[in-house]
Amino acid sequence: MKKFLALLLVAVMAFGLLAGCSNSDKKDPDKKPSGDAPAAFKIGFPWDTASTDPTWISIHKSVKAAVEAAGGELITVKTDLTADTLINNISELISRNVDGILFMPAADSMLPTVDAMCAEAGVYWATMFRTISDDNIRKQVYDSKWFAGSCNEDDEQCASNIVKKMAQMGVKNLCCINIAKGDTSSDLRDKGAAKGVKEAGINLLNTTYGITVETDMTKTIESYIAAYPEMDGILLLGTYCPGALPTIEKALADHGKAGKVTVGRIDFDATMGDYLKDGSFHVSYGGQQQIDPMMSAVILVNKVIGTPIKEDGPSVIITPYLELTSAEEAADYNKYFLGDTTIYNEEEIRKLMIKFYNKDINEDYIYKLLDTFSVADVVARHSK
Amino acid sequence: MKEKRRLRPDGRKVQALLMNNISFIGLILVVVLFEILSEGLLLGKRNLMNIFNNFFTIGMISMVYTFVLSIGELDLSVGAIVGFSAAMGAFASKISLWLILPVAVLSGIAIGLLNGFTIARLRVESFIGTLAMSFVVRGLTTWFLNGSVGVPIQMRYFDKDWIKVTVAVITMVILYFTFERCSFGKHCRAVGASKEAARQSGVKVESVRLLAFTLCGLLSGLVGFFTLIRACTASSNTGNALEFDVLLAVLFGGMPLTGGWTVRFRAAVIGSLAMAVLKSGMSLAGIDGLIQQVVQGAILVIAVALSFDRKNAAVIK
Repeated sequence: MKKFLALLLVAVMAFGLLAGCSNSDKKDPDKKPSGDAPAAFKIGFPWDTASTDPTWISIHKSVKAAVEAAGGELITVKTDLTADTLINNISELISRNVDGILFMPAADSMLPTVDAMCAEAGVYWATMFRTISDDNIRKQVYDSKWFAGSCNEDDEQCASNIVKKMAQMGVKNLCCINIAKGDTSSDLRDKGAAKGVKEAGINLLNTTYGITVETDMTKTIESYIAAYPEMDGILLLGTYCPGALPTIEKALADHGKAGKVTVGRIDFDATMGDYLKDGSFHVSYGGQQQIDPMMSAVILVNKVIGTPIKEDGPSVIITPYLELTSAEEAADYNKYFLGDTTIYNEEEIRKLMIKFYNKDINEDYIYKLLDTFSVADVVARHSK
Repeated sequence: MKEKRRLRPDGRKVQALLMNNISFIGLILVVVLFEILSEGLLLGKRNLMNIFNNFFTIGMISMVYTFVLSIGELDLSVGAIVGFSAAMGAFASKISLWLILPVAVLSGIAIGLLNGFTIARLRVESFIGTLAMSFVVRGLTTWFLNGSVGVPIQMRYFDKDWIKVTVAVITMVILYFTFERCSFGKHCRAVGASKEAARQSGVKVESVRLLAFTLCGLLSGLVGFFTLIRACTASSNTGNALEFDVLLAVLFGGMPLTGGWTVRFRAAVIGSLAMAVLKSGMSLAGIDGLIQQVVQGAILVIAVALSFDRKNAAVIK
C-alpha cells in the first residue's frame, strides 16, 4: 500500500513538473510601450491579508487600484512581514512570473538579497513606507537597474514635529510606544522623537517596543501610570497592535486619566474620531498609509510598462504627513481614506500618475500633485 | 453467515490500512487538490523549489522533533533558537565568515543543552520549561541585535538548492537510522512509553532526555544558519512562530503527542511535506489569508482527532 501511494505521489509530481516547465523567460529591462494601452502585466505584493484592520485593508486597496488602473493584475501573497518570510514570498512571486514586486522591507540588510533574486529573474522591484538608512546598501540598491524606486514618509521629521506639537499643547513628561528596534521607520521615529524632545525641552520618560496585542498595550499603559505619576503625554510613534488607541484610552479611563494625559499618535486610524470628540485624544500625524503604497505601486507600474517616472535611476519620493486634530477631519478620513473608494480612483490614477497616459509626468509633477494632497482635497474630489 | 464473518475482519483490515496510511493519503489529496486549484502551478519547476524551501525549515526541525515527541515532551523554543542562532551567526560574520556556521550551530546546541538540563535535571515540565526558554532566548536576541544585523551577500552562495537538498537528505538519513535502528532512538521511545519501565531496563532516562533536547537545539542552530544566509539578515523576528508550524506539521503527519512506540519518523517527513505543499498551494490558489488560518486550524483538529492515541493518552505533558 505504502509503495503504491509513494509511486502515485511521484507520478503526480512528475506530471506537474512537466506541465510547469514552460515559462521562465527574462523580461527586457529596456522595453518601450506601444499601442493604446500598456501590455498586460502582473505585480506581486506580499501583504498580511489576514489582517482585518481597516488601514491595512486600505493599503491593499490602494496598491490594487494603482496596478489595475494601468491594466495590470495584482497577485497578493500572505506574509507576516518578517525578513525570512518576505524572501520566501519574493521567491514564490518570481516563480509565478510576475513583472514587478512591491513590498515593505523588514530591514535594510535584506535588500541586497532581494535585488540579487530579482536581477536573476529579471523582475523589477520597489519598496513602500521604508527608507534605506544604511549608506552602502542604499548605494548598491540605487545602482541596480531592477530597483524601480520607493515612496516613503519623512519619519524622523514627522516624529520631531509631533513631539513639538504635543509640547505646545502643554506636555512636559512624555512616554512613547514604538514598533520595534531594528525596524527602519521605528528607528527613524525614535531619532525624530529624541530630536523633538531636545528642541522642545521636555522629558522623555520611557519608550516601549514590540507591542502586538491589546493586553500588552494595557499593561504598558498601566505600568507607565504607576511608574511615572508626572506623565502628562503619551505618544504612539508606531505599532502593529490592532485597536491600539481604544486600548490606550480604556487604560487611561480606568485609572481616571482620560483627558488629563495628552495622547498623540503617528499613523491615522479609524477610531480617532470618537476620542477627538470627547477630548481624550489630541493629535495625529499620518495619511501616508494610503498615499505611500499607491505612489510606490505607481512608480513600479510605470517602470514595468516601460514609462518610468524618472528615466535614469530609481524614483524616490518623500510624502508629507497630514495633521489631524478635529473629529470632523477624522470622520472625513474614515469615509474617504478607509471607505470603498481609494484616495485617487482609477480614472484619476490613469490621468495623474501613469505616464503612458500623461506624458507630462515626472518627479516634479508628482511632487506638485502631493503638495495638493490632503483630507480636504480627497473630500473635494470624491464628495461630488 | 460464514460469508459475513469472513468480511468483518477484512473490513477492519482495510480500515486499519487506511488509518495507518492516513498521512500519506492526506499528502496526496493535498497535492492533487492544489495542483488542480492552482491550474498546474503547484508542481511547476520553480514552485517545487519554493515548496522545498518551505519544507527545508519546517522539515529539518520536524525530523529532530521526532526524538523530543517520542520521549513524550514538547519543545516550544525551536523558533527562538533559530532566531538566536541566526543572530549569533550574524555577529560572528563580523569576525570571520567561516565562523557563521559553527557559531550558529554551537549556539543552538547551548540552548538545547540548557533546555535538556532544565527538563531532565530540574524536572520542569517541557511545556513550561521550553516556553520560558523561548521568552529568555527571544529577549536576549532582541537585546543583542538592537535591531537587525546583516551578513555579506556572498553568503547567499550557500543558499543554493543543491546544498540544501544534500543537507536535508543527509540529515534525514542520519536521523532516520538514529531513530529507527540505533539504541538511542529505541531508548527515546522506551522513555516516552514509560519512564519507570525504561529505567528498570537500564536506560539512562535523564541522559536520553538531555540528548534529545540537545539534538533539537543542534538542528535548530543549523536551520538558523540557513535562515540567516537566505535573507542575509537576522532580526528579532527571525524564526518567529516556527514552533507552531513544526507542531502543525508533525501532527498533520499523524505523530501522536503522547510519545512512545507509536511515534513514526515518516510522520515528520510526510507532515512537513504536506504543510509545505498546503502553504504554497493555498497561496497559489489565491486563498485569502484569513481563510488560510481557518484551513490550518481545521486540519490541525482533524489530524489530531485521527492520529490521537487514545489508549496511551494518560497525560499530555
